[in-house]
Amino acid sequence: MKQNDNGRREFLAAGLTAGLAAIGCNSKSDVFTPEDAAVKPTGKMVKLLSSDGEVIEVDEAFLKPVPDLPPVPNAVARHGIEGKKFVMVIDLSRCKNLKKCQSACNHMHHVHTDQNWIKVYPMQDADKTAPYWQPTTCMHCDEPPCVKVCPVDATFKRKDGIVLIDSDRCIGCRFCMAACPYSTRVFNWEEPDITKELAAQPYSCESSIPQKKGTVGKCDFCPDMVRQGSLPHCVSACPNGVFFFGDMNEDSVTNGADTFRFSDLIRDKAGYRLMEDLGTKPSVYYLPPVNRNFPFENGMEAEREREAEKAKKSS
Amino acid sequence: MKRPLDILKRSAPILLALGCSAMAMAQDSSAKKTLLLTPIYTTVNNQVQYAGVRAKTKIEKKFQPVPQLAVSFFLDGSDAKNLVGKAVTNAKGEAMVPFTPSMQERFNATTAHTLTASAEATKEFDASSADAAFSRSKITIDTADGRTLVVTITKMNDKKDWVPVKDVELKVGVRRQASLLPVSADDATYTTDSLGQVTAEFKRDSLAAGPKGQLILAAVVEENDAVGSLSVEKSVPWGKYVAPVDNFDRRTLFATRQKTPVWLLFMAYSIIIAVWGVIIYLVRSVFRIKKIGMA
Amino acid sequence: MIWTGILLVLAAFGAFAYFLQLKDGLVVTHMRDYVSWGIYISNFVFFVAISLVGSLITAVFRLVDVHWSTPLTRIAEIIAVSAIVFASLIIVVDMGRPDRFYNLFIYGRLQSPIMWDVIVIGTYFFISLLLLYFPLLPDIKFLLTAKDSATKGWNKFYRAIGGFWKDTPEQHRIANRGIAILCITIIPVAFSIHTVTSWLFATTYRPGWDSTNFGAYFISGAFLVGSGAVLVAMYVFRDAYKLQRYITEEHFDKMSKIVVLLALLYLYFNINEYLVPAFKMKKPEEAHLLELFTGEFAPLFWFAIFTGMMIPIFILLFKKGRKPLPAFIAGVMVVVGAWFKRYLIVTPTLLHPFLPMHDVPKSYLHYFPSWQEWAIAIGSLAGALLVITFFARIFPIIPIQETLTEQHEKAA
Repeated sequence: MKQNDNGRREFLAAGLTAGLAAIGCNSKSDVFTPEDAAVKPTGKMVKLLSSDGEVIEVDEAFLKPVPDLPPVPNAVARHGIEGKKFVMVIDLSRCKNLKKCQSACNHMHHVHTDQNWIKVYPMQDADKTAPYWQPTTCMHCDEPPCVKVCPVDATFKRKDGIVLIDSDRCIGCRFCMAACPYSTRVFNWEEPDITKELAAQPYSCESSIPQKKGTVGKCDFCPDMVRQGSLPHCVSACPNGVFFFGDMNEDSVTNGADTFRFSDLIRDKAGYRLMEDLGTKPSVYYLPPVNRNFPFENGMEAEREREAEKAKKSS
Repeated sequence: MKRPLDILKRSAPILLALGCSAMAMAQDSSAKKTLLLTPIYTTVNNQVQYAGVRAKTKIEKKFQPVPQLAVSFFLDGSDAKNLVGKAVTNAKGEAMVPFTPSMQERFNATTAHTLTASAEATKEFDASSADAAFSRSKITIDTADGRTLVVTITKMNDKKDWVPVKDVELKVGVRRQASLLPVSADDATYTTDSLGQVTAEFKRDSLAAGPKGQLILAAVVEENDAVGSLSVEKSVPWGKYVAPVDNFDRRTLFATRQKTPVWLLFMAYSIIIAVWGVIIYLVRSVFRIKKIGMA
Repeated sequence: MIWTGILLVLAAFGAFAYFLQLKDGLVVTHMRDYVSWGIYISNFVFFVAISLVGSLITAVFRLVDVHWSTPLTRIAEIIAVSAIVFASLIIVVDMGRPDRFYNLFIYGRLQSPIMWDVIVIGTYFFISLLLLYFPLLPDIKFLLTAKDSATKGWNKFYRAIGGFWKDTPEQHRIANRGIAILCITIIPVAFSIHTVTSWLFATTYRPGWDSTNFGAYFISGAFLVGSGAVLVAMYVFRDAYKLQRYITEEHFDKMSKIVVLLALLYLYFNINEYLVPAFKMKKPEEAHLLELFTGEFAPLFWFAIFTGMMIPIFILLFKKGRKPLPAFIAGVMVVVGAWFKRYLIVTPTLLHPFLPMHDVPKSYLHYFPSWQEWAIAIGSLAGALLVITFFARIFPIIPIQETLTEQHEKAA
């Protein structure tokens, strides 16, 4: 049936559109082809009602609005998502030190109490320059010093640029922590305070859950969310749209609300990277804190309020 | 244009919720929280339709999504024979089921329908349900002229003709990772005119594209009152392919153990072989000494 | 006996503290996300440094035909073997997941400086053991034939490892050839282990570590602390075993001169290491250097410089200072100063990361080792001393055969 063919072809595209279909784990097709040949038809057809009131048959594989994708196997997690090169742009002119990014990240990754994978630093480059708030994630460097020094391949760089940690292999030598100039890695000095059920789950490199005692943890660019076609948790959580995330091969980054052409954004707003002269080639770009319409001190106020709340809660 | 009846229908659950929450606030904290359901009708690529819902509840003056909530969807009624499907909301409080063929007769009977999402009473929430009216609608992209797109939105009227829908806000862009890159860098907004059409200029020069320069154009309507959620995609060869740089398979200091640089392998192994060769020779010397002594 | 008793208690307490660490995790230490390497690592560097003494005294002196040091070679080798064993042990103690130790062998990455360290330390252990063993072979027959020896209970062991030594010229030839090869081979390997250990720091970007000087700096420091340790051990064993005839005042004189030379050399490297960056005061280094010279770590820094280098140089420059007792004191100062120097290499740098220390609990901003860390560190030192004591009990602390040969040659 002609309608059937169109239905399938366009449904494949629809799968990408609606973000519903389980994007194939071993996807080797490039991201620009509507036909996602990687989603293998199972042969089992499902009858659906089309918007024309006709009954169409669609293979069940293309119709999987799964709330959560199952975690991918270790080898797939080590390889990465084909054809992508993830990049993040952080707009310093918008950050007010609300730390919603930090709490979302800590919550979703069950980070141990008092440790943070995202740190929001009060920065002031020189005595006379303006202070600003700088949210710092892992830079997912293209020449990662942490990966260079790991003795057991527990931290590795994937094809899509993301640097992950395999907590099942880490021996806890902390050389990567010494090597990282961005101080982005944290160590599980004790048993992480997570539920027994969570601790008993098998570890997935892409979700970095559950964290294990005696191993290292860090921002992972949420590959499990990205695989599903969503955005990392910090990007979605920021109410000011500070974090932009995207694929450099698509030359596009989004903060959930706005989407920009990456090369335009960096050129127009003079984006830069941290500690460029170290040669680590980070994947996180910063937009300078210009034209801010709020004072830096408001962020200090926010910090004090949070501290007061915490003190109240613990007493 | 919102029809008064629609407004009433849509605001009824809100009014109900507000009323309930007012009562709830007057009660003690062990009372059930109010549940706000928003039914969403989605048509993907003018083919497959979904009945969806977003479940929210108010916690401390802010709306939070309600996960793990069992929701049933009904078409034009609330009886079992009108059941479209059942689903459980995900972490974002959203759930979707496709329209099953069993609805075919009911669906073809009229052109205007009502989608009902309802949840039964649970420990946390009272039973609640919400309605949304929708008509069968269609969205198309036409790229006849150069780099111009025309997006048309139509819906079926009572006489089963496709009539244009005006004042529908939509987004036109290029399909990207978790987003839509607008077709032009200016902050243009697109709303359908009286012909149900929107014209957009593709102004992105040499945009990164697939191997054949192909880009996926997409037009998306998000939760419009009249037509629900619509989306359509079209592949156009308006981009420029740039081969990505990839270090993954190269031998580098930051590669896996399988991809150690050759010079390092050479140095390390020659040193190890040389020194351990000496050690093995010496151990054998010890055994030679032993042999002499035992003789 | 009291000596062994104290050491056993310290080592046992260390083992108990380690058990606590295994149970609760590294949280029992006061290392946290910023100071993620503490006294375990500085102890490791210290042990690796001391283990170089074997190659210095035994190998280098042999190769340049120095003969007065022959009685000291056994002491040097025993210290070397013991130190390298405890270097490996303290590194396992520092690991967050020692249960995954085998990962180093099945998943090891050759690109990592830690892998290089594992390989060279393993190699050096075997070479040191062989260099202890070969000269020991001729002495075993003395152990077996001694009439009223306290080591009679070990005879079975001695027979197993050296009963086949019959003093034939052929055996002597093979053994001497073996020793000669070992002496040549051990020097590059010894240089490698401390260079590679220094690269654990020099391959990072941090101020205080990002130095091209580190390999030579560490090796010179290692030779210094090794020879200081030999001065100490010489005095102790000479006293304990009444070896005044073999370890004479002349030995102290000559060894002290070596220590002065090495201390001056180490001082030279220190000046290069600190004065040159201080001249430039690059931003990341400024805070770090000021903290060492005049800040929080200043007392410790100047203590390490004076006690570890300046004062021993001063003492040992004078003939009177090169007598056994003053030399022994100088030797102790060198070793103690060296231990604190290693601590100053590891910790202060970690307190000066490039980005401000923020969004962390207050306890992360300082470092002072917890009692468990002290217990384990001291326990490891006690353990090393125990092994040395043990070896000294079962093997002759002076290489008998060689010393006899030396004395005959001198008389002839």
